[in-house]
Amino acid sequence: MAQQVRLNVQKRTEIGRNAVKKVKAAGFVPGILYGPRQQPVPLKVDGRELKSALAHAASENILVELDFQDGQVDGPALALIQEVQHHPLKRDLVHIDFHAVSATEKVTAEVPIEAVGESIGVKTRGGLLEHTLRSLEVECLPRDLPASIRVDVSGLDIGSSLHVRELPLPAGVTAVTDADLTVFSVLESRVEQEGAGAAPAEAPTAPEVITAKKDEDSKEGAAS
Amino acid sequence: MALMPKRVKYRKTQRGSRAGTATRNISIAFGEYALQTLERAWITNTQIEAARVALTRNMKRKGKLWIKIFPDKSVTKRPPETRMGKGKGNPEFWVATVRPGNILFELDGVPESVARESLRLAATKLPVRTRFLTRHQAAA
Repeated sequence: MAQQVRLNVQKRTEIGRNAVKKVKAAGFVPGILYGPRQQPVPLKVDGRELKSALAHAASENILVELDFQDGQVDGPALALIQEVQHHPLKRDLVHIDFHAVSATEKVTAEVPIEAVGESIGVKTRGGLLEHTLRSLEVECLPRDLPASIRVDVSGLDIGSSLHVRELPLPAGVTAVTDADLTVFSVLESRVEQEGAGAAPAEAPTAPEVITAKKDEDSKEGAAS
Repeated sequence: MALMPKRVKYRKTQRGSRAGTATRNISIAFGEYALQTLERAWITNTQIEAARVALTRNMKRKGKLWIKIFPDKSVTKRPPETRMGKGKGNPEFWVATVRPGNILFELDGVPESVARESLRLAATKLPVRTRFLTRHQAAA
């Protein structure tokens, strides 16, 4: 079960690039709360508090209870973290999206998939465990939302794979992702495959230039 | 086979802009570990290939590697001792434009210590300062 985190937020009146720069300089992370039955509410969250909440969670898609400090919104609002934007270099939090949800209505969220144990194929036969699908889209009530889906891969041998339909989902949680998609597969070691491969054919030194249009033009020119 | 496009519309390209930080290819998409550039540069096809060889050697051909950049830009050079003019030179090599934040390589299926060392060796073949990233770090 996902841990519900309480976050202190403030309604944000600063809108626009320059105003938001000041919000960030003051140590806040700008964000927005939106949902199906409400107008979007721009807000700001204390950077440290948010970073700590995210650091202790298995993924960024967690359930939070937003406590508006200025009292402009009635009661704490339940929301899912929909998206967290990071600076590509500094890794700082740039912006956060909260998706308002109702405690009694089912929500759809992405939950990370984690492998537990070491597969037989990797352990004894030197195979490679390929983790194809890293997160699963699930539908459930907010209180049933799992923090992550842990899958035991110890039984997987070379050539075998695990699909979405075989994942152990908690009660009340259903997968929205296509049931036939592969989550884990164990592949044979590449060493044998590379050894068996023939020497590469003579490589071209220049790429082919797409000249179809030019040829047509020259033909037309010659005809006239 | 040299890393370059199979087909191109034009043989010669303009230099283009390398300004700003990366906005695409900035998160780990496939593997567990990655090498991220902290500088902007043109990375040539031979440098990418050298880095790939260094990586696969150290990984002892285990695990899986994704090369996230591709040299799709041709660089021309004039022959030595030629006068100016007479048109643009001939394409000599191919480069990938990277901006700070771009992910260069991704790895999976090897322990972190091996991935760290492999990517360190690969980074020595590249003309940019780089950083080792794990999937967890990238998200946090």
